[in-house]
Amino acid sequence: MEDATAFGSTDESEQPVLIPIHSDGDLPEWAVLELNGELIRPKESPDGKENPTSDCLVGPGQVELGSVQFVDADPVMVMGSHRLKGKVETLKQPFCVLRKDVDSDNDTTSYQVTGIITKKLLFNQYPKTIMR
Amino acid sequence: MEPDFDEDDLINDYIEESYEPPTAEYDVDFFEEMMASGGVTKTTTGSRTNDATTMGKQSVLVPVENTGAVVNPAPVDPHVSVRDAFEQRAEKPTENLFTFERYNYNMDWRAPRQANSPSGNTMQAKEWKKSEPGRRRNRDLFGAYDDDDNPEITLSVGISRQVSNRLPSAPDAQLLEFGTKSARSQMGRKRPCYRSHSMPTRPQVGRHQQIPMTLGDGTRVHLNVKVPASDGKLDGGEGIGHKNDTHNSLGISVAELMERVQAIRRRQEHDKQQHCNTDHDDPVHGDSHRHLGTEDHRLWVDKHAPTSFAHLLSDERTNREVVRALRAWDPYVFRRDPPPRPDFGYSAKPSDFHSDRKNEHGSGKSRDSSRQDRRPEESCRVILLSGPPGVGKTTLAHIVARHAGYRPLEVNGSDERSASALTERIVRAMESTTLHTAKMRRSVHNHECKDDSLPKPNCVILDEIDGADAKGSIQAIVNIIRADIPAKSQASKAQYLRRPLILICNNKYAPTLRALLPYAKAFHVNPPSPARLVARLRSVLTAENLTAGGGSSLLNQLVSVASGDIRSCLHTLQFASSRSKELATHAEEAPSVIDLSDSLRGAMSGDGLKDERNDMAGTITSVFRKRKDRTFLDSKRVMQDKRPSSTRIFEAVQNFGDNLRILDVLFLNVLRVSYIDPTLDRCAAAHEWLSSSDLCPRQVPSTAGAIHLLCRVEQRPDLSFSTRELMDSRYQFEANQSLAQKFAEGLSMQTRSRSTSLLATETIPYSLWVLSAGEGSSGALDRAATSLQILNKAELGSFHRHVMSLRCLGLSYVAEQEEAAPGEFKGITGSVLRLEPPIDRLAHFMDLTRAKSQKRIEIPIAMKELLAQSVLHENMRHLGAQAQSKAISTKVRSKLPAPSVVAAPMEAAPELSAMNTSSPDKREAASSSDAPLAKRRKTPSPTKATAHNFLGLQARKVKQQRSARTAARVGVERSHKHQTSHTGSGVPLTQIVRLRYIKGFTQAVRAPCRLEDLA
Repeated sequence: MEDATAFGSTDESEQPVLIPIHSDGDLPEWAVLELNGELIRPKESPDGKENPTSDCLVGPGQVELGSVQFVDADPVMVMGSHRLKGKVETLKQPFCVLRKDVDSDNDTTSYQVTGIITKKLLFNQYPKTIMR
Repeated sequence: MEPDFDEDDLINDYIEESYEPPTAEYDVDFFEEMMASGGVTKTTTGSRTNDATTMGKQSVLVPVENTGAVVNPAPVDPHVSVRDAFEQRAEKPTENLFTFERYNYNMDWRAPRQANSPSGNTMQAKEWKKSEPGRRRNRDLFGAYDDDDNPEITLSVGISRQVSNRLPSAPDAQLLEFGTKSARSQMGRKRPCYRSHSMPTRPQVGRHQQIPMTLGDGTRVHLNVKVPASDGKLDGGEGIGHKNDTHNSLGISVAELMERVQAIRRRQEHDKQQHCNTDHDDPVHGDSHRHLGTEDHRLWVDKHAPTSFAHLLSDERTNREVVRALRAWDPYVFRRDPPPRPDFGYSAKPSDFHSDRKNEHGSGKSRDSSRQDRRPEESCRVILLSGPPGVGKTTLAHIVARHAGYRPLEVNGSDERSASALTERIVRAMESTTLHTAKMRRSVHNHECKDDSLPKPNCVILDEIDGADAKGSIQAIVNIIRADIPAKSQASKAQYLRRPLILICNNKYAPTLRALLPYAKAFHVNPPSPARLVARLRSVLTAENLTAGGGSSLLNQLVSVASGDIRSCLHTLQFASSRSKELATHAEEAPSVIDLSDSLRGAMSGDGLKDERNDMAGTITSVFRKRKDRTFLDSKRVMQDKRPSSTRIFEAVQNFGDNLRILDVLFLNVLRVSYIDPTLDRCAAAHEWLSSSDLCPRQVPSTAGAIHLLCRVEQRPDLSFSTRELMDSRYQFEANQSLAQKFAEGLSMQTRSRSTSLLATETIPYSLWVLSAGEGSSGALDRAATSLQILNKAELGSFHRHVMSLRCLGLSYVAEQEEAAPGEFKGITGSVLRLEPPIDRLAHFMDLTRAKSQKRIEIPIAMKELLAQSVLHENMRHLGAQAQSKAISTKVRSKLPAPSVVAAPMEAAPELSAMNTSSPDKREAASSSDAPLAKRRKTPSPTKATAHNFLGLQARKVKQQRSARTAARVGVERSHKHQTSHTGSGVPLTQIVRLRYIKGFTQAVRAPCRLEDLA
């Protein structure tokens, strides 16, 4: 990457690109789920069809990831047939979740802060298989 | 004051046996006078120390006059004692009747009849009157030694006729080694076993004197003393005296002592002339308390502290032994021999053995190490004084150290807390003075205390070492003690003990001192005898111009109350004196001698005494015990008689301080004491008191007083003073409470609303009754059945009822492995099924025996297993049903927008868990939507709707390979094709994202993001 780009200015014009970021009042707090490993997309989509691209999470429809419960302040995630024990960690640097709003009329892009992330749920232990 | 003779009957008996009537007439009255005047106090003859062979050196009084003549006592001033003689030195010797050498000032007034043994090397009696050389010739009996350690006097052995043929081989033995100056001179040679028992002066036969001796076989021999022809060597009394000084532990010659006596006499004459009115009845303190008129605000303890060895009040034998132990350092510090122990003839054999062993030891040492370690043996390198507070341990240490020629340097063990600091102080103190040995020797020999310019070696006194930092400091001291003297070649910096070390503690058996004990010569300092203490107190009072009226009874009381604590006595006296002095000044005419008996009585009646000991056992025992009336034995109690006993108890408990502990112990013991209480009124009242003071701990002293009045007994009650029992029951109570709590949590909400205590008292016993096997009726579960098939109908019915009740109570049976003992064979351990949570413990009464019909019959283990299995299955079935109902409800919910998947908001978590907890309306919805499923559900109990989330498994799909039996038992429908999600959302597993775990760190990808992309 060119430095100029990194600094937010294009080569042609020295005009810095201004990106408005809005936020309104109290922001909901989000959390990052950090998993050790990779996520495999289910073979079936909820509507019963076979998924053609099994290695891509992004696709039509919703998929269930799992459930997170808190047992004695420690998160326990049930995911597929795995049970993951995790812990809550505070991020060194907080993140914010932005939503891109593209106003097609003015051709302007603005971002809406939709959440602040200060904590993450870290599931880095070996998962336990849930046996029937 | 009677000399205390019962101490050493043996020795005295011996003395009497071996007593030869002296021809010289002794003025025994003189000694009696001296005794009466208080100058010579208690007499201890001999010592029974660990070394049985040695006796404490006796006072030896030897007539100096020509033994043929009758001794004429000179007019003796009874107020002059030998003790004063030590303090003063006269300008010149005058005519004297007696020379005597005393060891440790312990004057036995019977001693004139008994002379000392020459082998004890105590024959210090010698001619010191140089002015009359003509008379001396006959008096030089008892030996002085020249530089070469050889006896100066040769004693020709004249064998008396009766025994002459029995004398061993050398009848012509001209020289008997008389006395051992040092072990060195005798090394390798065995001493002849002739001992002189006593050496009273015998009538002279011709020009010879005879000394009776007893041979090893008991025959008696008389030795003729042959006076050497030349007087020259014996001349110069000074020189010889100095030589001899090295031998006596006093460090002072007899001549000097006598000079001092003379000087004191003269001074007293002088004083008498000057102040006729001052009445000094106190020979001990007569000198040191001359400044009476001046107001002195020092504490009496300091003011009247003993200033010299002779003034020490503590047991004289102990004092002597401490000096001896300290003198064992002489070879190392002063390069001279320590004074040998006085030897008495009758202990011939053991003494021989002793000296031989010493010799061997000495030679062995010198052979072993090139550098001879002249320090005392490792086992007695330091001196450990122990004893109760106030008996004068510190004083003893200081005075003994000074007496032995050291400068006492006190280091408080509890001041220097850390081991390194303590070590440093000790080492510094040991190294600080450079020794000018020659000067030192002279100064010690002359015993010139006034000449402080001469450097003295330090003697470190470590006070209160039991207060020292545990282990560390003690170990540091031990290390110093144990260290050998490093050879000069290896210039190691190792610290070793160069100077004597006196350690002082209260209790030598304190655990912290355990490491030290093997290296310390331990002495227990006993409280002085009450008689001596009273005498001393009296003399102090006299010195302070006070009297305690009423004879010695008051002082005796004081002494017994303080249990021999001199310090406490003196403090009390001073306290009383300040009161009475005040009174006296207010009075019209001030008496010259103030009587403090009244104020002393007042002081002793309670306020002025030291606090009673904080003794749990004593305090509690006094609460429960009726004080006996025969208190005249104990003066302490006589005084307390005036107070009511409840007041006494009140004060005792208040003094103890720890109210809560007292309360606990009282509570524990109040039922142990068997006081007469047929109607239990007293018991009830006592417990009323106890419970009220439990609420208000400040009441405890008065409660103790009340309990004393209620529950006291005559005999010594069997009490326990440990609160452990109570603590145990408290722990047990807490454990039981938490168990009941656990049980309550397992119950449904409706039942849980009742209080835990109600639960424990009402629910649990009846539930246990319900859960018993039954009373032998038809449906009793008392068969050890292993399968449901063999149960009959009634049993099956009660079986299911039992399972129901177990589930309702949230109970189950679990296997409990009996813990095998470590040594046991672990193969077969019995397993017992018990209730979980084990509520049967709460309603288990060990000692309660019931009628047989009322007894609860235990369900057999096999049956319990069946029941447990059944309960488990029933629970699973139930939860599965719940999960199914949830799944249906989520299906309905899934049409709604679901939360983001990757970065789920925090609210998602409770939401998800909320999904798991099925609410009744959801279940209703589920049952309505899935009617056949609901039909299949067995006993849907609403009480078990909570928890067990991940177990909320409705096994829709059971794998085909699963055994049919299991499937039948669990009651799972096989028709279902798919497994649903474990989250309970009801989504089939195939439609859920799976996780493939990758070991190691997360390979998080951080992709760069361009601003253009954002725009």
